[in-house]
Amino acid sequence: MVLPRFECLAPKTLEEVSQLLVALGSGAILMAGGTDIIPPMKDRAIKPDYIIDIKGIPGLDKIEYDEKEGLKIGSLVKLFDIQTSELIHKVNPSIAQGAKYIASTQVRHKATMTGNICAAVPSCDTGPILVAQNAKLLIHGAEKNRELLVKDLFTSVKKTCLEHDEIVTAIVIPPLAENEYAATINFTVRKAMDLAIVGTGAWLQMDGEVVKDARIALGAVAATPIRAYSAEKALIGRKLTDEVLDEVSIAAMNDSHPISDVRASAEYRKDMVRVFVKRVIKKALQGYEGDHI
Amino acid sequence: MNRNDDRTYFRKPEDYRIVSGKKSNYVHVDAYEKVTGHGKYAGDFQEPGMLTCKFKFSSHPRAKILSIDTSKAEALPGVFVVLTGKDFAKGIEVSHVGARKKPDKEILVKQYVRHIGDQVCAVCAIDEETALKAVDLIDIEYEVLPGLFDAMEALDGNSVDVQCYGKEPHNVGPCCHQQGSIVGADIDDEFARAAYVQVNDFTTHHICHCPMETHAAFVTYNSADELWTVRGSCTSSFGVQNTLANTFGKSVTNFHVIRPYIGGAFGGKGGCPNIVIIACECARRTGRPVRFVLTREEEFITQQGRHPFNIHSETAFDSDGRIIAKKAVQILDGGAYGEASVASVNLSALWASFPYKIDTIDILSKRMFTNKSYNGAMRGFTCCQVAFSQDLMMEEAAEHFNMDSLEFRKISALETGYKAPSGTVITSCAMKQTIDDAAAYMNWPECKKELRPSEGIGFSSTAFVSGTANPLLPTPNQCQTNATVRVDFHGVVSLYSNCHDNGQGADTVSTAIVAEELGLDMSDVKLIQSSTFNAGYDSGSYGSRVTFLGGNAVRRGAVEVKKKLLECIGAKWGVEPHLLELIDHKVICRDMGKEDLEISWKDAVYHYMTCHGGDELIGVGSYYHRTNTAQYQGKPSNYAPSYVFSTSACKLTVDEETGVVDIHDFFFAHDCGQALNPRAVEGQLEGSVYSGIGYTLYENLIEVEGRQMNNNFHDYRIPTALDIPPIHTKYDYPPEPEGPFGAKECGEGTTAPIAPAVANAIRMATGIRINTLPLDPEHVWRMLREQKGSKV
Amino acid sequence: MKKVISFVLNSDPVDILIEEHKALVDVLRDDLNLTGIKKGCEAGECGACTVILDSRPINSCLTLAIEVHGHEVTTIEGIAKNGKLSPLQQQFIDKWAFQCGYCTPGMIMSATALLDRNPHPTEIEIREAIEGNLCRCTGYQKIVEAVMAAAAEMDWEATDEQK
Repeated sequence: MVLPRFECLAPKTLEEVSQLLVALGSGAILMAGGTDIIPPMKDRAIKPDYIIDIKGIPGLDKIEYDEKEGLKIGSLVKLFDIQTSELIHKVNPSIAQGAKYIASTQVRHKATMTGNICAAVPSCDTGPILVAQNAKLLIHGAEKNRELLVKDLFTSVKKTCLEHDEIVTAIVIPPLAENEYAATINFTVRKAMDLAIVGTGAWLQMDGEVVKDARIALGAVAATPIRAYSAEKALIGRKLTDEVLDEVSIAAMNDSHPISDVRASAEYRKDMVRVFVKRVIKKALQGYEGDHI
Repeated sequence: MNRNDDRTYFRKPEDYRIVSGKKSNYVHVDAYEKVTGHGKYAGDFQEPGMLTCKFKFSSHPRAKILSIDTSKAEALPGVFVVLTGKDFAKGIEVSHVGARKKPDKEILVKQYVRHIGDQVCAVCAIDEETALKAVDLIDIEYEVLPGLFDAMEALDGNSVDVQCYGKEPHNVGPCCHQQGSIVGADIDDEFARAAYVQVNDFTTHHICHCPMETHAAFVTYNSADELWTVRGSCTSSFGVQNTLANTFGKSVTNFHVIRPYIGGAFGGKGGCPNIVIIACECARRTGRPVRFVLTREEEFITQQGRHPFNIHSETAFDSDGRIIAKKAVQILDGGAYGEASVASVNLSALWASFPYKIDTIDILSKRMFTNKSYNGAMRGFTCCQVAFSQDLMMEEAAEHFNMDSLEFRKISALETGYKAPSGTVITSCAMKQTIDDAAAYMNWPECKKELRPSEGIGFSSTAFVSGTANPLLPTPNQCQTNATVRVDFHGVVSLYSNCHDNGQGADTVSTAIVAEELGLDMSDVKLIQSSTFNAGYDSGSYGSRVTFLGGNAVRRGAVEVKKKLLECIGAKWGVEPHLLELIDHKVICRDMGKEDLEISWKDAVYHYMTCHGGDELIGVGSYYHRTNTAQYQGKPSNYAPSYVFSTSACKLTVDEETGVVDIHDFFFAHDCGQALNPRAVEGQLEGSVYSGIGYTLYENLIEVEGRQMNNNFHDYRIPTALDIPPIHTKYDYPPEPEGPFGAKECGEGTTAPIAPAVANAIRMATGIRINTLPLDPEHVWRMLREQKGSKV
Repeated sequence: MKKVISFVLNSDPVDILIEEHKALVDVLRDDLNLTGIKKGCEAGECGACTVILDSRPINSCLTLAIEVHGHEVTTIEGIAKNGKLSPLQQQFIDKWAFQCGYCTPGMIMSATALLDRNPHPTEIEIREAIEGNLCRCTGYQKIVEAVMAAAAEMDWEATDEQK
């Protein structure tokens, strides 16, 4: 296979990375797992002059949990390790499920969750669950560091608001309290190696039988992963009956703006938003106990 | 020893050691090479100085080429050859006795491109990177013309010209019109007297073979001897040799075609693809080894797929539910070129009657041309599509008659001895038993009571040919396959047979057949094959012919060895040779009172050679299936030497909100006569079910105005290991007398019953009537909404 | 640009001059003559090119050759030890778990990586381990049977990293 001719650099610190990004300009791209940059290079969609391989930077490959801060997943942690992490299964299994949706076992042994969301495809598999749980990114820049909610990362198809000198160092997902629940369901035709026709993520905060707060996120039904705000509004403060769920799911359907493409029609996607928003809310309350992830 | 020779020395079933059908003592002949990665496929060969080729494709579905400027490409350092249509005088000959004499596909297009992906130029360069750069530097000026994308639109004869075969209306390719009655009836009269006429219209979709190995070729050229050595991912080496000889105006002796390992074909590698021809031309011009491998995306757009069909059928039943007559018009979307198109219309007309006794028929199959990538033979070769229509029709008719659908099928089921209006003569036939076995597995009809909501069970029954009459090239006595068995003075047996193994196990079966006849272990038989110069003719892997015809030739070669040996030993002992047999590496005697006589295989062979002045012990075998060319003119002829029968059963649940079909269990009963190698037979059946599930629920090649939108594995959904249900198989049925050790085909016709079984089960689960494929979630969802109303 | 990479390949140290923009699959197949590794799609969608990188099964078409510098790579050619087939390879033969054989090297690599990590997988875990390996011939059933049989037969020792 033919890839464009580029030079490969392997910095050892975050500072070096930012310096290189500034110095080399738009002809330089970052590479962690590489699984989202090699195919577009082969297809001649991108032609970088430099690839900055960040795998040599220490300290970015840890999964940590703190009861106050939550789950911190370093940018170099491989999706397979997220999928199979006992810690994640215990504290926030929907994150493990979200990771598992991506591609195949081989890809997950190389690719990263950070890479998945920074690629910013409309159907990015981990987008919905990270947006629904208000996950944030820790970002290192040449001049300053900052934090950014995942939901604010995406600006358009395959575009993020990251500055050129910035590199994401970790994803932080807030802890789930006793009365908080989260789930993700990505609807695919094949059970592996398939992009979502519709992606869903739900986070609920319950007060007895009443939904005190809720966030519902959708993937593959707009230019970026989105929040279904009118669905959330229809849900908050109400009891979860079948009628309420129907109302919420229709509201979510109206929040989405899918297109028709080779994978599915807009009409089908819209109806699947309705179906899967109901299912993901139920799944959040049901939980993942005993599930094989 | 040929088909007609005496069979006295054929091994008796009570003496079987290897082909017992119960325990498999088979040794997989190429196992080591495949599990270690040492086996080489065409694209694995490389030699120093090797060059690489790339195509320049047409980006228009229909256009006239006004000019081609290759000068910049030729000037690029590292580019050795740039070829265009003018470098080849002839088109690609399809080596097929019934095929058109004038090929309709050029090696490289000279004037009119007919589909997006049509190959206009080829570049041969030092590496892939340089070749791609050179392709970009070629300038082609086109006059873009309106294209034709709908086969039904082409029927009125007024559409733009894709292909014109002279006499016929434009865009109509080969047709086959099978008409006739074995009871001397007029078809209109039969329809008039019918108690019930079932009318249906069906459509099926476009899919591709997608073998894991794309088409590839590796060629070297010896200028001193003008000898090309060709290794291609091709399943008919002699067909390739023949095409190359004609293309280059040389003799077949100039082309040594060697078959490497082949990474799947499913009917799509039967011809001589232009990558082979181009590699030969470049090797000749440069004197260097040349390799030409297609990428996956290129494989989709340049290689053949499975014909989409439009079928209109009318089936007449008497008051007992027995079929008395059938009319059908079947329109095939052939794409831009011919490629095995004669067989596609002939076979699809045949399937329109299968697997039932239909005494009066009027079946018309017409293959149309459109400006899309073309279609050809694909595992099941039009049976998947026609069986879909036939079986769903029967299911609906059974409902009309308020009969159990399995009992309904049995009323008209084919039986041994039936001679159809098409000329088909049924020999062994266990169709009814396969139906009973499927019913028993599913506990039918009691299981209907235990079905949960949206759960359904579906059955389907189909039949297929086991072998064909077509030897591909014009051969003596229409013989398709020659084998030679040679024994040296050590007693080592060499089997020379070019039966092509695409993975279906032909190599193993051939070796086992010889070992069985000669009373040896498989490890005592060395298979020499895969070259057009080292072993005899075999027409290739197509038409489900390898086990039946190839196996029969191999058997006869071994039996001739046995006959010669036993005659010699018989003379030595004063015993009639037919009272001797080869068992467990010995010649044993069954003459009363002389049972003590025995001699080891090695000593017997040594004795034979001594008696013959030192000549080796050699046996020659061949096999044919004779018909005249009537079958290619739609006139009655017995297409195959035998036929196979299958019934499949599937249990599934439909998620009526999403249209997702979840198959819990799949059962497959296949009458392939005597299963020679049980594990290989199971593997073929499981693979066929897999293939059918892909066809029905997952795969769909989407084209818009002739452009393939999902020519990659990202968007063309090939089922993964997580998408296939448990598969249970049964294949223990009475032997076919004419098959080698009673065997018939297993692995091609078996793809056909999957789609209808799934469709019938979906119907039971949801009540929706299905007349179209595919049945992926969105399509099922749409049908549910249209027929049962929206859920919102 | 060209660089020398050093890595361990099938237990042997290797130093090789490569061009930075080359994919691992091409360097292994064309420069190191390891043609057991197959190409089915060059896009990470079929698994025919699967190799093991430091105990992880990966698509070598989604890997730059330069990425393996300092690491350990195992290919199908390195599975048999001293000419003796691994228990998994033998089970592939005994269970008739291949037909055309083209996907087989990739399947064996994915399954080997699985058994090294998880010596007693369930059927669903096996199917997930090979979910990224497409096969057009077998329908996967006998492949799953072969992996289960190999797991049952051998006392695989999971490596420390996976414990």
